[in-house]
Amino acid sequence: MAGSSKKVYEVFVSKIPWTLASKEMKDYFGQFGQVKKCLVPFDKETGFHRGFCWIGYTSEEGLNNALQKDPHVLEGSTLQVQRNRKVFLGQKTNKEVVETS
Amino acid sequence: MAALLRSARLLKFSPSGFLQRTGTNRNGPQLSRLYSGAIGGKGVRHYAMVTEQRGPHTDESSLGVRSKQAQQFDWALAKLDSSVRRTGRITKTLLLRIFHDICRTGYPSGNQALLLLRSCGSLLPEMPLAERTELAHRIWDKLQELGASYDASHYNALLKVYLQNEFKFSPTEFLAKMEAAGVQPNRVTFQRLIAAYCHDGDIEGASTILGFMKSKDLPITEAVFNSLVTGHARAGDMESSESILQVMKGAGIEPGPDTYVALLNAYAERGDMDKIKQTLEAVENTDTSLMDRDLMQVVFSLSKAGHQQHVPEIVERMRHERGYVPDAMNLCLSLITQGQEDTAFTVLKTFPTLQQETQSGDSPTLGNFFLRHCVNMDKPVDKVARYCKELQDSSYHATPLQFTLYCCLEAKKTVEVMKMMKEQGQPIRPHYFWPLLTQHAKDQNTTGIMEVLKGMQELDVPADVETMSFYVLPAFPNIDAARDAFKVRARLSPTATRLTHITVRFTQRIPSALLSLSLTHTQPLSWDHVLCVCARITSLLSSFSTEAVSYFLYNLMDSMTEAEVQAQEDKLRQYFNQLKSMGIIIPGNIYRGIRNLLDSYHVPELIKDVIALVDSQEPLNFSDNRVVVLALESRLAELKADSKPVGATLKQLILTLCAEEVQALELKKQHEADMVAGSYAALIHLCCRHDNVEEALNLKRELSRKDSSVSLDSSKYVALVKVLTKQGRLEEAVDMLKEMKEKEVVVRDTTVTLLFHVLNAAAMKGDVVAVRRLQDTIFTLGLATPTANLCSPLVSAHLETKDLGGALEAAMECQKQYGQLPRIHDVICGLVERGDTELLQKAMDFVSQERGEMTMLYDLFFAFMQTGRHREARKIIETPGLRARPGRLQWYAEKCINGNQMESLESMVDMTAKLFECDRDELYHYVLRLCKDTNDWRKAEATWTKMQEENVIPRERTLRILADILKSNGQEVPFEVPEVKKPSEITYCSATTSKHSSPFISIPSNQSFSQISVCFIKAYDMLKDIERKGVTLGPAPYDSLIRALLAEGSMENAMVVKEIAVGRIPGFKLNDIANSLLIITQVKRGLAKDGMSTLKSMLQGDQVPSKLSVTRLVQSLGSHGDVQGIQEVEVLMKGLGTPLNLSSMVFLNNTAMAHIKNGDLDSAVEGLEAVYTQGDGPQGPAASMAFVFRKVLEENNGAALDKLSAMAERLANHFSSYRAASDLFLQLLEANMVEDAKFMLARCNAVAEQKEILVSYMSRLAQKPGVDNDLVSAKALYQQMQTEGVEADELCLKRLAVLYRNAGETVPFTEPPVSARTHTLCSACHLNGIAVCLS
Repeated sequence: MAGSSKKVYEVFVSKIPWTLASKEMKDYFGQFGQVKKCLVPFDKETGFHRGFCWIGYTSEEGLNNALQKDPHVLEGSTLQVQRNRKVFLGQKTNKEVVETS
Repeated sequence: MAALLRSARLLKFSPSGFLQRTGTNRNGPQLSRLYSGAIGGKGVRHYAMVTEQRGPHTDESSLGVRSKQAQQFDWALAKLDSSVRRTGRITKTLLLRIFHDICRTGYPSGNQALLLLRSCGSLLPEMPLAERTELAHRIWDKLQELGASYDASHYNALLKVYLQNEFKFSPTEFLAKMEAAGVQPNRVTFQRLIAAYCHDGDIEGASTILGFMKSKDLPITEAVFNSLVTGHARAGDMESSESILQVMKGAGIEPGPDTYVALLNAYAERGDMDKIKQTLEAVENTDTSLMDRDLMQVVFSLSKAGHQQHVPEIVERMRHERGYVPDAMNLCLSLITQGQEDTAFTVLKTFPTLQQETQSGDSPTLGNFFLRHCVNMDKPVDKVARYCKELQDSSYHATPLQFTLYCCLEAKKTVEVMKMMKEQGQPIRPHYFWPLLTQHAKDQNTTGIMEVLKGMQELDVPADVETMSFYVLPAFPNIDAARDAFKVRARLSPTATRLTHITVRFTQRIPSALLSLSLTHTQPLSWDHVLCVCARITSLLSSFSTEAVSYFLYNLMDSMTEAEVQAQEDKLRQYFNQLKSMGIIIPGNIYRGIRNLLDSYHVPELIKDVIALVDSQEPLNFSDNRVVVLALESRLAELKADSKPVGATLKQLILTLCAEEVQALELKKQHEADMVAGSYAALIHLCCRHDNVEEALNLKRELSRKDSSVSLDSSKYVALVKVLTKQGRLEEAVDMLKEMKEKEVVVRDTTVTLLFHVLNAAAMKGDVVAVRRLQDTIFTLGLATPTANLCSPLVSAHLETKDLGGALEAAMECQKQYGQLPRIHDVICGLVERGDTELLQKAMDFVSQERGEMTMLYDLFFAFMQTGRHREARKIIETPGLRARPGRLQWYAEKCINGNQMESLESMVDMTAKLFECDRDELYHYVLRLCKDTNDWRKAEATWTKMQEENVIPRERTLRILADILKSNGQEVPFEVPEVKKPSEITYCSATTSKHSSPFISIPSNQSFSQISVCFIKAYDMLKDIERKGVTLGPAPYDSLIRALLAEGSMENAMVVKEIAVGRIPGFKLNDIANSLLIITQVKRGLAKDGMSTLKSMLQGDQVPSKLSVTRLVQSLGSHGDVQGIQEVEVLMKGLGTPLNLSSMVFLNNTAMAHIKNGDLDSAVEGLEAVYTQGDGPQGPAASMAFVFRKVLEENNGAALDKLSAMAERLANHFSSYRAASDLFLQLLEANMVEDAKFMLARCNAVAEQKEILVSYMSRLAQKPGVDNDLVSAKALYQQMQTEGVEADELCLKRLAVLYRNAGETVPFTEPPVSARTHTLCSACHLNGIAVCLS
């Protein structure tokens, strides 16, 4: 019930090549609507990101625009974009994950 | 057919999947298979080696060690095996890891040694040849040092490795070495020595050995002739080389593929392509055929001999058989390793996988392995760049340069590739440098960091906030160091310097540094000052980005300790308010992070202040309703007072209240004008839940009047559909679904589940019409895709009304329309039961037609089984050609296990005995699982017998479950349980069970343990017997027996064994574990002095004693009053390289005990008091002296107790140090001196406030078995809480409710909706309740 009333317009992006980071993701996904949040978790051990990220739009329109486009090809790589099912919570246990915006 | 082939492959290739194997021969066939798959060196076919000459090691070691070795061997073998199976190679890292693991655990077994040695050859194509041999030698020496004994198989393995690694060695010396070690060379040894001579073209040497073999009447095999082909060729005599084939034929041996490969290699080394072609044609006319793998060796030889121009011609001849790619990859890797990367690249371009990959839509990435290995082998950058360009130009790889860079970064190599990329116009981004920085940051290597930054600057990549804050600054010990470094590098861009300034403060450690400044006495920096700094930082950051502020806040909170936060609660509140007035807004996820922190610090009140900072648009997700309602109400009032819009807050409040089932409708009336869509939605849902359709519909109408554009979400719609259907208003329900579609309501997985429940509820009433109508509507509207689950209610509705014909029709209809066959098992069962053959036939025909005959047969089989018609079932399952379907068998077995249907399960197992490909062990395991559930050991034992009858070899887990059942029923286990307790565990167990200082360690009731003990005593007798006969064993059995005897407490016997061992094996020493055990045993015997000297000699021998042994020793010294001894041990422990993490309280408490023993109470008190009055020393307030109190209480030492309790009270009343008092209080409780405890509490009230200590005590208590399910006590406690007006929180209630339900009683209060997993640990009332009980 609480879940349905919550308005989160998030997409989950995977298969991100290592060469792209939050700035590139934000720039690319900005074309579909205003991006409120862009979370690319990096592995502090290796210095590489984990190949996925979350993009949060300010409106449902942005979300839908992003979802409608297929395929998403960025610098030669096809990104996988899907509606985000689980809301990402900044938990204390995820210390090794550093979120960058 | 394809499937058949695949499974046949499976049979052939996966040893672990198939259980018909015995423990004794497990390293025979598997190992040879492991070694049959490699490529890249010479003579690949010889991998399969003779394994018959294994040493007697299996009989040598004792039970425990052996089983451990066996396990470890299995594990290591499985690891290496899977690597070889997948790729045909092993990585160096994997091999080294297994090597270290084997070393660490002590005495390696013979087969472990063999496994490792055999892996050091061509299975490591990525490693240079010399390094491979070096590794083999390292392994050889190390394992020998650890006591592995080598036999002929090991020497032969080493020879093979030499050959594969082209290692130059002297065969005569090798033989001499073997002789010196007393190992007889065998046929394989000679063959390999001949090969070694031939490698060098030394025909004379080879002939000598050959003559020797003849004199010993050893058969000359094909392998010898093959070597001679190579030998003559290398000696420059091609004619003789070619003539060997004739000689072979004369000797009655047909030249095999290896012979031809030897010949081809000989030509290849000369670059004679004509001869190669001739030979290849000649081979085609014989029975033998050459595989791609064979041709790859020719490629390798051509390239190594410098004739790479001919490589393409050979490559063209390859047929790309199955397994081509891994073989070719290994060839490429070997070539690269050995400096032939250009040839490798030629081979790479013949890889056939391209089309597939491009079709799948992913960009092509052919050659990743190639590029990575080039990087690892430090190939010149321009060369790699050339490969990259070619790969890209021929569309083999979309982003080769990027990948190469990735590999460089992974290997922490230089940024040269980046320069090249930049030249090519590719973007270079700051995060490319992070992998380089992480390593330096980890090593705190600031010079390295500055180098990387310089590199960034050169490439014109500015360091951004993230780079600075997460990767650069953490490497510096403090701000000043960082600042200095940057001053030196003044050339760094001004942005970077400015960033440093900000990020220095931004990093985690800074706030805590500031805070600790304010909290220490040295520099009285007031909190206000800190606040000021923090505020400045935030305002600075807020100009940067809002997210930065949020992270700063989170980090600030995270860096503070619980005590700090609690102490500074007011100040922090001020700070938050200040932030609010600055207009700082934080996002929801950060809020949640902070909330969790504050929750864990037990300052929930502060959360409210943080909520105030959250974006009011942001939906919050609260865990604690009470706090929230309060916060929301105050926010609502505040907003109202400021006449600001309250919609969002109101909605939040309604939602919260709805969850609490409070009259939320009331609230609606009060704030009619401020109602927003969400609030209506929540109320509608509430009404639906209470079956109040009219009100729900009213609200919905009201909502659409207010704003027709808003639509409810799916769960509300489904709730409406449900309640309408329930009340028989079907058409309205259908309309609701249609409206859902019209308004394009988003349907989630959960919605589908809800829809299923709606349908199922109707089906349970047998309302076929409603189910059909709704189902059709849902599917035609496309609200959900038809799944077996969603289709099932239609069939259920018919089954509910016993209309089997209708049910079958419905199922068939679903199959036709949606491709689903819901509940067919139930339908068929019903038909069988009713004996309706006509319909049954129809059903079977249909299933057979739609799903295949096999499925039909299984359906029928299970229906017969289910209805107890076992004779019919047997006929079905014995249908010729039927094969096992593990998934379906498992489905039925699980059904039986869940339904406790042993008979049915047993007959299924019985009937499937002859079923093709049936995993018998798996099926018997199901039976045993049910036996375990019902605790039926007789049935379990009978199952065991049956398995023997059927010659089923059980997996280890099957044996374990069987042993468990038998043991828990006090039965003897008639076989060796695979996993025997490790000696160290036994130690622990015996040491703990003998706490009460009996001279001999008491044997615990645990039967398995006593069995093991008996074994050890027998072993001891056996050893003495062996000794009389003058037989020498390896060190392993002595060691394990000594450990076992020590664990038993038989110190004298252990020492006898030690003497024997020392006499037999020069340099025999007890290892760490054995020595630690010895200390414990000595201490037990009251021989503290002996224990002390054992400890000293251990430390001299660089051994590390176990924590337990040191603790026991110190305790013993304490009880002997040996203050000096304790001090000595403490000093010794401080000198230890690897600290044992012993609490300093071990020494302090036992020193006190020693003083008490010596009657010097004042010194005892003085020592302890110092611990608590010195403030939070290194031990902090956590230091417990419970041990001293317990001992004193146990010994009934009234005088000491008086002194100590006086001290505890003094500490509590004058120094506000409550630990000692709390410890005393709890020990009094432990000792059942409740009255004394009460007095204690009365005198030191503050003890009751020592929440952490009490909670940890209680949780420890609660973990004792029996306490956590004590409903009677729980009830009593709850009642008392009620009478004393203590309010139970939700967690309490929830737990209580669970207890009630488990006991099958109704819960006498409304159960809170929180999940029991909520993390709010023991809230105040929880604690108070129990404390009330205590006093």
